[in-house]
Amino acid sequence: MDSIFSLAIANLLTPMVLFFGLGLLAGALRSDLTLPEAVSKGISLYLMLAIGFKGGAELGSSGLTGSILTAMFAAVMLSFVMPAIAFFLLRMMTRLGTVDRAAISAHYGSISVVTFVAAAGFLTYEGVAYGGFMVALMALMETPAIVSGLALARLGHSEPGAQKTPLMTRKVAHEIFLSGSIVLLMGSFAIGWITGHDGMEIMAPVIDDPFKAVLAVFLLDMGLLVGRRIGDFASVGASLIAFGILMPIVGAFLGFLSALAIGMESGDAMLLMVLAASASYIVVPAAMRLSLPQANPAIYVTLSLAVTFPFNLVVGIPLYFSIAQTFLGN
Amino acid sequence: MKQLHAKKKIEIIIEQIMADKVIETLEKAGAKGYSIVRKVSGKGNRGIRRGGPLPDVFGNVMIVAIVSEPVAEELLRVADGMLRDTAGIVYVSDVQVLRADHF
Repeated sequence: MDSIFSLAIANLLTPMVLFFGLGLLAGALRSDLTLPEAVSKGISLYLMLAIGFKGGAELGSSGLTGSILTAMFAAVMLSFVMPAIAFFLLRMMTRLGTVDRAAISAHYGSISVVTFVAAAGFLTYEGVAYGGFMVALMALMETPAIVSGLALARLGHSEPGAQKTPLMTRKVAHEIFLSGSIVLLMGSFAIGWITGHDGMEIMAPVIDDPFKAVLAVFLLDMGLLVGRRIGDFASVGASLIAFGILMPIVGAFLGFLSALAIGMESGDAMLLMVLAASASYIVVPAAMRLSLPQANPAIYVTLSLAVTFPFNLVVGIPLYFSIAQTFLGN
Repeated sequence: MKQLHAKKKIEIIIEQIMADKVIETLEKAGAKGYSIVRKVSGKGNRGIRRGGPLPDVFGNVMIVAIVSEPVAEELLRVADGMLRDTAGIVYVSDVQVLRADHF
């Protein structure tokens, strides 16, 4: 068995993680290095298109099987249930009010696309295969947590006559399902599915070969973004930072149990762990800002973006990989 | 000098995500038009607010509308309730416009 330590070092020495580190350093030191906003937006669209298309094309060749449907169901359940666990942990670990706890919980039930993409990149780097349907699982896990989170927020408004937070308004649904990244991700997934192997041959020179290099550039930008937020740590406090590290481990463990229960292969299991461990920082913050304006965005964004995202990227990915390899690898 | 007409200019600096709601309110109150300045950054009682590409919950916009006095009053009344949980600044000033029927 490859030791976790050597895997962690291998992960640290990929260009992806090193560029993330460079961005982190430059951001923390207040360097004026920035990627133009249009470029970073363009790169993130490229990543969505590439990961969606690859997943769809692969699913097109492997076909939709019963075990894939089971996996989809498990993913949706994870996203529904994890906010309740996060909500409970936050109650044990912090003094936050119900609404803030509910808003944070929704982030942790949902997923981070960038973390998923980085994990998929890591698997490719290690030469371990994963199923295209994992992309569909990712998309499925984005929303249920938002509904759970809003339901948890209602617990704080149980006094009679108080106005209830609606579980889903049209505006929020629009924000989630028609957000540019979801439309492009699912659209590319569908196009990949329809065009299959032939389509992949056409797209590969652009979406396959340069993928990891583009991901490295994107992670440089993410590093800058996180680095500039590092000063916000002080406002979040030690107990919340501890939650931001504990919760992904709990999530990964649940992901691992689910993968074990449905008999996933190690690559897929590792990605499910990553999905369960990651926390949203694009779609869910916007949804929470609209639905729970009383919750403090500085707390939930800092936690998921500045604590959990770097933890998963640097420590989590090699850790989950080695666990999946040890128990489910050949 | 050409004849000018007294109107109220209402300026609303608010989080980007609330922009649609504010515009809806403006139109309902009777504003005939508005201008939006995006990517407004600065400092207020919620500290420094500066949006980035991701997540865009820390960005502000400025919405400017020129309206008649009754519309301005109605807007201020509604705005008071809307601002409770969001970062926002609302202020009104007197302006002189050239074409009264446009506002």
